[in-house]
Amino acid sequence: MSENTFLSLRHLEKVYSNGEKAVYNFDLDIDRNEFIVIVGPSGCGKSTTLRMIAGLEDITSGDIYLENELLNFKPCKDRKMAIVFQSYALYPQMTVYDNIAFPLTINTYPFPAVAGKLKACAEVREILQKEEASAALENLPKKSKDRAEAVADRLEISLAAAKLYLSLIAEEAPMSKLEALESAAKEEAAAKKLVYNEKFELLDQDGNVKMEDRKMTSYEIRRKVYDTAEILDLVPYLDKLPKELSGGQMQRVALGRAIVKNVPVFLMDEPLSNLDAKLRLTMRSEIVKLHNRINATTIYVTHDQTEAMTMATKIVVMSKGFIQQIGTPEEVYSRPANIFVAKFVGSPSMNIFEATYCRETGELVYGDFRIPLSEDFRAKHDEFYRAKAEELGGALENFGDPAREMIKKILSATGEKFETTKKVKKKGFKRIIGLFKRDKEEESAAERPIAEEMVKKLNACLEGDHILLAGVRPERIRVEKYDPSKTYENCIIVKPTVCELLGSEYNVHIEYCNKSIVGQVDAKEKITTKDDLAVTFSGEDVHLFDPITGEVLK
Amino acid sequence: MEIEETRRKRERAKSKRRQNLLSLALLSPYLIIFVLFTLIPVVMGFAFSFMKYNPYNGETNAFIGLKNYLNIFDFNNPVTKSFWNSFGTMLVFDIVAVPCLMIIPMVLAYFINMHPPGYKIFRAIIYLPSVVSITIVGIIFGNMFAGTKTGLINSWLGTEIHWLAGQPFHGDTLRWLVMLIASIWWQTGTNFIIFSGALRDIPKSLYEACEMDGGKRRHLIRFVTLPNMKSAISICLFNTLIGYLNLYGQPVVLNELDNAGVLVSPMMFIQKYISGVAYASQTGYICACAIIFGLFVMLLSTIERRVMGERRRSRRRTVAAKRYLADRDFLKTGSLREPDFEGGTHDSD
Amino acid sequence: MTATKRRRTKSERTRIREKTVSFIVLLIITILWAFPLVYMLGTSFKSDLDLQLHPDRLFPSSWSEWTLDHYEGFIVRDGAIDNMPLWMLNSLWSTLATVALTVILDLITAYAVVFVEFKGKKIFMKFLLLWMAVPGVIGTAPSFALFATIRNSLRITGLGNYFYIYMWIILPGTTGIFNMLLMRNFFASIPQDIVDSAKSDGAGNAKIFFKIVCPLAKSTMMLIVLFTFTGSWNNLIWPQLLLGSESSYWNTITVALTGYTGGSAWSYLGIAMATSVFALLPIIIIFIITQNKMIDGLATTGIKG
Repeated sequence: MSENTFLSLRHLEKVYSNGEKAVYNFDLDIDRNEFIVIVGPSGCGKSTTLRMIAGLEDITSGDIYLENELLNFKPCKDRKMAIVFQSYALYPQMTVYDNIAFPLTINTYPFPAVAGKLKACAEVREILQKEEASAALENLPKKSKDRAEAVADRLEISLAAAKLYLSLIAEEAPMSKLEALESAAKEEAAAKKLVYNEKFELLDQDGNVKMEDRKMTSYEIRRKVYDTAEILDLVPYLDKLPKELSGGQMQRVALGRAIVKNVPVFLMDEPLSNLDAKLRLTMRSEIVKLHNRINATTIYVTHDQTEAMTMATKIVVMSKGFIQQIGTPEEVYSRPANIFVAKFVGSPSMNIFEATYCRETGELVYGDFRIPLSEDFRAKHDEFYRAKAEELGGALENFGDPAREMIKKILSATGEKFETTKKVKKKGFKRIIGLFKRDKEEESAAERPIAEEMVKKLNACLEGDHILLAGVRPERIRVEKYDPSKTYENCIIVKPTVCELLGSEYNVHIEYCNKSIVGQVDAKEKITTKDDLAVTFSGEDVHLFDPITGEVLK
Repeated sequence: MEIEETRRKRERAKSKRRQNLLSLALLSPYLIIFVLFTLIPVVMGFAFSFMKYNPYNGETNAFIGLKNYLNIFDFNNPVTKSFWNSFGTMLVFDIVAVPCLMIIPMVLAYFINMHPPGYKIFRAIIYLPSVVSITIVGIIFGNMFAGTKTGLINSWLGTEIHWLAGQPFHGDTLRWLVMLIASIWWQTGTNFIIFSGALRDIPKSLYEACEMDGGKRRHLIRFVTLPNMKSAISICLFNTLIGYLNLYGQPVVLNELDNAGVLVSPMMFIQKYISGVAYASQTGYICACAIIFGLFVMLLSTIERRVMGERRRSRRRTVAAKRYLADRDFLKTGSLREPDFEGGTHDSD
Repeated sequence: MTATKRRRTKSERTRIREKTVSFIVLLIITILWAFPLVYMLGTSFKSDLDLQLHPDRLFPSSWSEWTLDHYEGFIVRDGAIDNMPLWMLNSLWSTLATVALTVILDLITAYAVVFVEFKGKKIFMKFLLLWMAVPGVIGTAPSFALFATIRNSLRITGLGNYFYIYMWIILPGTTGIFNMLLMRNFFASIPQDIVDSAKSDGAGNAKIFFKIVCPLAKSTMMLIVLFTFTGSWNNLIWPQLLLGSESSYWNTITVALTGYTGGSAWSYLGIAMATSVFALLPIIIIFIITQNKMIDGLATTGIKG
């Protein structure tokens, strides 16, 4: 672990009490001010991970460090994190103001201890010398309590100073009165042997500022809540109840409750999925703006890959409890690490087809397409398969939990449906019997044949032709209207089955070799299902994946 | 064109008429029974309360104005005395019983919501007494607390306490205690089930949010559990309150010979004076008593609704926030922005 | 596997502690709550001698003391038909009539209110809601007066009187506004689309009512049946008023059992308990069959109000 990582998640794992494993080996370093998006289909363990970070869910194994401080055993309130839930989780009986203020009202916070009287005197002295101060006394509210607060707000002084100022200006010679007060306060401080710095913060024997834990005063809370409400445009709604708000407003209140705590880490659990499409778009940019404005580190969980691509500085793609890829949006999009990421990221999703790899010619063949591969591909290909076969073979020799997990990880990437051994909660009589005998053999039985099968297949790939998965992004598929006068190379001529106009472009669906292929094409020309189209793509745009392990070859 | 128009109009009117007829046919059975057996008696009750009325002897019936009501406040009248006595005893009992019947079910619901093993069995058994009729409750508790050595409790304690035989208003605390125990046993179930349903429906994320905000267990109860149970509490309080104002069964079945005739609740009072020919000439007066009592019930239930209902809120936070925001930038701009108190930016969403 | 080896985490430990505490508390409460019923059951099997000698025992003091004596007299006592079967019969038919009428009235009324447009619908509903706030006690006395007046003026006697009384016992209970609103709220929650699609398929009101709405309303109907059944079976105050001066053969079981309460009943302890067990049986059977539905239904309707 590098020394200056901000938030570091080390090998997080989660096993639920019913024996189901939700998260495997989650390893991630997060820098300050990063916007991390954990994305994956539902049930992939992303929310569980977030809840482990927040402290709402116990960590089965692994560690969480925030600025090199171990967080595992801290209760969630001490983790310096705020969470925004999908359901907003606003207290229904409280107004927006009370909802935002709630975390501040029930907690104590460390404050530097201050020599209050002296500080107030110094502040008032400064103000008395200023010209424009008297302007601040215009239009004061009627209630005396509000007046002091208004003065404090206007002149940016403490409430105590504002009160003192208001009482002094009513007198005839405020300056002399102030001096008398100040000297009295100084004497008092000297009698108590207080040591303080130029900001009137009390110092201990080592010269450090003394801190004291106390609740915030209602004045402090109000200022904080009002500031937050202003950021989020919630001022007109402060007196409303959550049920009187729209979804977007509730979402902003939930954000406000997180912001007001002034914590370095924000956690968001699918915060936008309860909103309608249009609002989601605006809130998306709002959240990013907010993130930049308050300099927080955000971990954001979503199942929507568009959200991930547009918001993140770093994306974590998860499937079935495993991290599939970590990278910037560009990396994840243009260099997917495996077939799962390739399929999951991008909309419309990548076209995947089973192409045959010709060892002799070094070509990829799919129907009429022949895609030449580079010279060094064969070496790379052989190297890949040899290494994989070796790795899996090694695992087979000593088949234990790590090997089983490896198989599960591979299967999570290929997305193949398969029944791993699940511990079924036995009921009644069987459960009692189960306590006495444990069948270890049976448990590992399910993964082992799969592993054996895989090794066999991998070895077979080292010689002869075999199938590879080729992926091409829809926008990389070149589609044009067929012109009989031209000649086309490495091209197929088909009629599209569906043409969807998206405004600036078409999504053209074509049927080829029993496989539906989607291409994106500029909408300059009108395309209908009656037109013949020439479809092609270049070899450079092809991503190649191994069908057995799902990993990327090229 | 015009013919078409009139035809359409006629058809619309026809279908409307058909709908009205159909609804009348469907509603009439309910309406007839409701009017005959519920509405008319109440209206008549008001009428009788201004009359001298005798169902067995129509000749003496006459309108006597407010005399019945004045009688209710004439404390020299023995019947009046027994009405107010019954009223008072009932009230004292309710002040103890109603809180018990709110708090005990709530505590039990809190525990059952932790879902210990076998909680469904616990829930069923705690609810079970609610379906037992009050006479059977009376038989069971009457024999458990029987005043001789053969009573279960007495035989256990080796005493001969006359639990249920205290003279009215003199040492009958024990009888009320037994009534309280029987009531708790009998009626905890319903509120308990409603509370446990309300508890179950509180979203888990609220607890988690409160925990993230630094809430401890007492904060969780104070800020999440109780406020979210408010509507359930309100309903249960309303039902329990009304039920116990109409207290009847418990004092009737839990007594021993000496107190048989003692009227300790307005329902008992009404029951006694309305049944039998002996008091038939008092019917008008009894109706007036029932109305006074009914008004009291209505008053209490209205108060309950007011207290549990939503309070109107001011706009003070919004106003204060706007003033603060105006004041805050004073030094930067050097002038006071006139705070805009009334209008506000309204979101389109 | 790992799951069995690992240490219990903190929240799991709190959860287990919570469960243990609540289990113990609820076990104690449940035993207390079951106790009176167990006492009733045990006492009903005690012989008269045992009742005198061992009042401190819940169950007969020895195996030889178990007896069914108290149950035997129910059908025929001293050579004549006992009151008991008659009481049960009275209760049973009047309760069933109340339940059936309530359900039918609630169904058709709620259907009219929700699915048929008519003039004055809003006023009708507003009136019912307002009426809920009127305490029923105001009507008790005049109802009885009305009951007596009509009977006197029509000179109803004999068997006619019996049915006249039972009409007054049954009918007022069938128009409970709460039950009707329960049904109406359920009907209102049926998606309009279902009804509309049936209409577009050419279904008339009768068809919609019988084929779509009624089958959907099964669970709400069940709930109303349960509420009405227990309410009517256990009703004391009103039947007692109406039946007070009549032949004891005419009593419902709940009213009749008041004879076993109070100090006068000590000498019949065994019989009182056996009769209670017998009277409780129908309710308990219904309860055991439906308790889960009943409790869940109560929990959800309670919240919605």
